[in-house]
Amino acid sequence: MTPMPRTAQELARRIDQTNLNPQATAEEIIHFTETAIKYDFLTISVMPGWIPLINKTFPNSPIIIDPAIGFPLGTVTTEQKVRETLWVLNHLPSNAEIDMVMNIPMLKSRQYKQVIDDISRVVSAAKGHTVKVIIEAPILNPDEIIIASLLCQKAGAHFVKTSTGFNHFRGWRPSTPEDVQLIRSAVGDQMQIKIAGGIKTLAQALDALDAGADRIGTAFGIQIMDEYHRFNS
Amino acid sequence: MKLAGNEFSKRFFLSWIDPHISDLELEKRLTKHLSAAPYLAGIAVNNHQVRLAAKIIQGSELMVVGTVAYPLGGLPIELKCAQIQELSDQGADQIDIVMGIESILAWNENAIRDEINAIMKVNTEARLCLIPNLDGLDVSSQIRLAGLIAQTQKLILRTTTGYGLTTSLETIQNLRNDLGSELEILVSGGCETPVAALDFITAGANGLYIDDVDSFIHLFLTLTRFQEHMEEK
Repeated sequence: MTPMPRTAQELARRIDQTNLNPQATAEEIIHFTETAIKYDFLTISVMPGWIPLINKTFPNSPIIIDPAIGFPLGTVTTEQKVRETLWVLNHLPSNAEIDMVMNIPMLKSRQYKQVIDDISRVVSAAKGHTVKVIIEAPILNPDEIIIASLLCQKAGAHFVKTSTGFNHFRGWRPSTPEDVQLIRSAVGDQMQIKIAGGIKTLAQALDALDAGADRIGTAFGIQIMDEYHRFNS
Repeated sequence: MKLAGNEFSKRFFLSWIDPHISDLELEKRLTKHLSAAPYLAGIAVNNHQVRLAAKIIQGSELMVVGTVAYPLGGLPIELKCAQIQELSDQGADQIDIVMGIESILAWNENAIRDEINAIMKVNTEARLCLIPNLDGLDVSSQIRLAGLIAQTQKLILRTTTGYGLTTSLETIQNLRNDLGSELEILVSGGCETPVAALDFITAGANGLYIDDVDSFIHLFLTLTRFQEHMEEK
């Protein structure tokens, strides 16, 4: 578990700034990336289709890109998740992290071996790059959250990530610090946890970090940082 | 316009793309809905369940529908094409593909044509259906885009993914007025009642994605009986 951030920079380096808006334009993605670099966020999370544009526009940027794989449903085939991962790494050989969505119907079907296979094949394709697995905790019951987290661990993933933030799923709700605590109780300190889906304010971000989250995925990173600076000015 | 009962046959598509649907649940639902086959054209399922669905409904006239880049569309064309091929090989009868919205919003016609041409080149016998999320566009772009799809004389148009965007009756009327009857149009999003379904069909929709087929069938059976009764009189 990562210690609480003590400075603005430490907070920014815990944020995956996110734009997965399907209506985003190229201009918006360029502006989004530019701002994320300015704010010194650790990563930007975008759909894979934007990678060539970001590469071309920001050729020497140190910012890490973590594209969403099998997003947001997670029900594409394992082969497709592997293809997407290989494509991403072909375009981002050094500065990529992978955020993949777990196959939730497989989890709910208790096909645990298949779930592990689905994740571990992406981990293997990622060749050492950080892999975060989105378990969509908001639509799971507590037992399923624990099992899903353990399956991520077993499959060799680096992070358990709470949610896609895709709020069209039946029964979806924002992620909570309690989700983080439950996941932490399952995986201990051996894995990192990313909370995403519903973190929009500094207070929510700090609560999540306090609960044990190592990383925050949010489209509201700028607002969170601006709030931080207001409180500390 | 007079609508007879048989004009509703094979008009309806159900979408069971849902992380809550386990394999067992899918089997139950498919078995139940085989009895609705005279009215149902097809059922969209989670991609990893396409093979299972194809096996269960083998021999029926129902189509299994797979989806590509669904619902956000943010994948590079080569990954979309690979996914189409894979779903086709697994037994999908129809594949619904979300188009790259960035080239549409910027009206980059070369990029739009490149995507359409690449999809046309995939070696498959499955029906290929493009989803441009029409109702996020202005009328002129809607018509130009539908015109490009119609030019292929092969591809089908599905109006939206149904996530967040709805289709208006006016959109269908505009497309029919401009393009005639050549292009097959499937409406998704906005068809929530049997009466709305009647309106869309009257306006020229060839098919409709709906949530629950039972109430629709009931209305059409009643309508058919009513029309037969009037004719006898």
